[in-house]
Amino acid sequence: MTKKQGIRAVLFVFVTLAVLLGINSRMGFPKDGQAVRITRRFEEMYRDEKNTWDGIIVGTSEADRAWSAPAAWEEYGMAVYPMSSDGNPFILNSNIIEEVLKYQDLSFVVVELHGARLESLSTNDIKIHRVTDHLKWSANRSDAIERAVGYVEEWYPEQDFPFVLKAGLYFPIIKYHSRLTQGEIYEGDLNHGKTTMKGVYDARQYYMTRKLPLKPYEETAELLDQQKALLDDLIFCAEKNGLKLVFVKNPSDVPEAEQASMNAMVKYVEEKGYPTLNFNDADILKASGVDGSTDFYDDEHMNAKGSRVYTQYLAGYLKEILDIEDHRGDERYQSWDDAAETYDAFYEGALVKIEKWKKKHGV
Amino acid sequence: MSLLSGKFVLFFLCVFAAYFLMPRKSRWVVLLIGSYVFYLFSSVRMTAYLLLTTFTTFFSAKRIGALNKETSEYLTVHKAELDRETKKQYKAGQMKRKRRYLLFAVLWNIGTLCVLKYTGFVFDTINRTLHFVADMEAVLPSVRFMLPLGISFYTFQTVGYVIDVYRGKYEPDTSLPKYMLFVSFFPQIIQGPISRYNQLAHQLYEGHEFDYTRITMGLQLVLWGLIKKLVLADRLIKVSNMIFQNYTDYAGLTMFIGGTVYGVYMYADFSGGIDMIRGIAQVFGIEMMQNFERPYFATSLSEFWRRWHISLGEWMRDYVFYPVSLSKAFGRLGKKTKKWFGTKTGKVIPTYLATFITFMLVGIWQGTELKYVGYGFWNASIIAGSLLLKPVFTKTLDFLHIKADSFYWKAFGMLRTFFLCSLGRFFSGGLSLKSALVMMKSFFTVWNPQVLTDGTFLNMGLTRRDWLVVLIMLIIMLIVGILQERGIRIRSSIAGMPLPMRWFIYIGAIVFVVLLGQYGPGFVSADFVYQQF
Amino acid sequence: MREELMEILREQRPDVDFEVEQALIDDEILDSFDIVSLVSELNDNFDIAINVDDLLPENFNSADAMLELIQKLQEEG
Repeated sequence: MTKKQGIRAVLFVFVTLAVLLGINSRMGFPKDGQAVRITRRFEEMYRDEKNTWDGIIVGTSEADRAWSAPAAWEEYGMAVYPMSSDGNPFILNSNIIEEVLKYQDLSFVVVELHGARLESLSTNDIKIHRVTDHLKWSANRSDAIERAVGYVEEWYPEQDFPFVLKAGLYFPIIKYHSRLTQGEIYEGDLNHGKTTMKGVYDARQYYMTRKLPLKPYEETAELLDQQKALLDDLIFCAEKNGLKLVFVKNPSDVPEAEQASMNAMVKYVEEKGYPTLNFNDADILKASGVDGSTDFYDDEHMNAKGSRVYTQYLAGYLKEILDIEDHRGDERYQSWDDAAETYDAFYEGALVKIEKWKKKHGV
Repeated sequence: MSLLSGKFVLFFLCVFAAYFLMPRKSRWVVLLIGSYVFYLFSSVRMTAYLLLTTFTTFFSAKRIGALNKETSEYLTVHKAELDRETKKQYKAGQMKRKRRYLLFAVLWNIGTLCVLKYTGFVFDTINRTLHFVADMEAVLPSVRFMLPLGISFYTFQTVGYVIDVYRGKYEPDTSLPKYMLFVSFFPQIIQGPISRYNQLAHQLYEGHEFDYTRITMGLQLVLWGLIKKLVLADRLIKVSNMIFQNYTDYAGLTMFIGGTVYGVYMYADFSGGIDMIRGIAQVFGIEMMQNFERPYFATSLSEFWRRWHISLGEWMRDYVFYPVSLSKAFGRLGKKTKKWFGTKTGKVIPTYLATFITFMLVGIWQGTELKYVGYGFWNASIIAGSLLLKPVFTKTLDFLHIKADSFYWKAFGMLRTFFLCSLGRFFSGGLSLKSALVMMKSFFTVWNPQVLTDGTFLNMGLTRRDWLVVLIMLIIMLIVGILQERGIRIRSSIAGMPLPMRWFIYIGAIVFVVLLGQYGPGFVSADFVYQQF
Repeated sequence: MREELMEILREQRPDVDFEVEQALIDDEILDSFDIVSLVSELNDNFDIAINVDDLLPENFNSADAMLELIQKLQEEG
């Protein structure tokens, strides 16, 4: 082999790998109407003005359906961004925090507790994909994959998690190339689009409404070891990075066992001295103004109307207990003003659509 | 260790590096160690069978070779003093001694193969017969032996070697370690081709240079095999499985398409695997024989079998068909048949019988079930029948003024062969002999062209887009086939293109298999069909 | 003897020019069925016993090669 051939061979391998990795990056989990919104939120995290965020909210879909970041911005000038995903494995919150910290010097993290409720404890490779596919290649991404797989293996040893699934987490193309012929290709796969309202959830469900018998709940169940381990893991990560933690249990009408279990988590972190906002508490629920008969589109997800009420209340609570600067007027936060403007128009429109929906369905 | 596993890639890279780092003289040692590591990976216990075959054939051939030498030396030395009769006697005596070693090697190895492969079938049949005739409980245990990897490939290869030495085609091998490599060479032990000693062995023993162009050509062939296997074969298997396993749910044309799809699947799977094997061997500078020569371009069924699994066909021809048809028993038979049926017909009857025996053997080689007997019967009777009717065909063509080498007649021949092959697949692909016959009957009695348009084929695990991929693959393979038939060497042509074009094709092919190959979670790539034979 | 051989060959495969072809086996002009029936013809006509060991390409690639084989076998008797 001549030197020229050697160089050529190495170059060939590199070009091939580059092409494959390029395709790999476009072949993640199916970006349908729901999922593409997660993509947009994560992409904005990488794109947004550095070191401008005050805090983030982590959790499952309950968190981002409820938090309308521009509403908090309008009220208090705080920049708090939703970094949750649908079915987000709680174990990955630490990795999400680490990832955000590379770009934003956060001072606090709000943790929504539906993400560690009984139903959300078990996870699968799709839920993991929804987070790790969005992380840029880094040690943190590998760590996220290893920790998530390790979590499944530790707590669900009977659940088969073959090597090829894990390989698929590193290289999503292994799992998702079959979508080309066997599955759907969505518009969102080709064009992710952008979030214009700092991650406000704006899909169709946002305009629906249904009556929810929302009531306070006081029973407390026993905290599972698994939940304890998850909370401890998150607390460890926050402590290590000098972040303040606030735990929130959103209003919802989930089964009583779930409510009791979340109350137990609230109790556990309270005992550790962390501030909590538990909407199962009668006074808090009343004071928040969240109305079960108009503010939800299903048992646990708030609609546009409820989300604004909730956000304003939670933002007020955060302002009260944390030292958050008012950034309004700072030109680095121009994008937040723009988002607020878009959000206002969106919110007005949403109210009209909710009314229409109510009439049509006789709610 | 499957050819398609990450483990194999790693193993290959190790052997690759070790091979070219070694001094040229001892490069064959790397291949020997690699081959045994590969074999031990598949099963430590089964390696005993491989070693036994290696030893028995090596030493028998050595003895036979020595006798050959002794005979010719004796004859040269005593040329003058021996008369014709003593010479003949001496030769016969030597022959007898030689034959003992040959018989030992052949019986031992073919015997092992048969015992491992057919004991279960024979026992079951005896049990069933006794149960049927005398209503007895099973007297013999139901046994299934694990088959050593590649047993029929290495058995045939080594038996062929001993017979060739016996026939005086070449001298026996003198080095046991080298011969061990000939028997166990790692890519080919998986699924052939069944190589000839004089074609392969010296290539294995030579140390080949690091030739960049040759290595890229080998890798090209591996990639092409991979595409055939992962993009086409593993898609089609879903369809043929669906039809063959639920044959009572389908009818008529669907059956025919099931047979066709199964045939193309077999081709893509088997020839894809062989391409990978030949490509890997080429990386080490070893040219292995072709095992497929575009069988679907054959204009007759016998030509099809000369183009399909060539190494087995030639093995059967040289070591079964010729010896049987030229045996004394067949000679006597020929004389009798000539008496009974007249010279012209009687003369050819032994040939048909030998053809029949050969194809039945090929059928049974594939498996022990009755359906394979049916498969052998199907091929044997069509080929023997067409031989018998050949004079009639020739006369008819003359009468109709059709030239046998005209394009249209050839095209007709190809279609006819394709049709017969597809129907024959009812036997090899079907669940049982009965299911094959049911499918055959349904094809000839039900006319249902509407299955092509009513979505039947979209309910077999392949989507519309999958079928499009299948179509694209078939078109690519057709074009490749036509070019190869015209004697164009595709890989050399690609290698001779300007760099951007060449890389575009290579990377395009890699992307093609990565995007459209059947692999990943939710898909377990089927083992190559001819593995474990 | 050569004439007799050519006669047999022509009858066997009228479409092949046996005077010219030098690679009957290597180029697959004769297939295995041809070989077998050819051998039985030769055995009968020349009173020899062509053995399966003699079925080497070099013995059948051309008419001359076959002639040589026949002569050799007749000599050995």
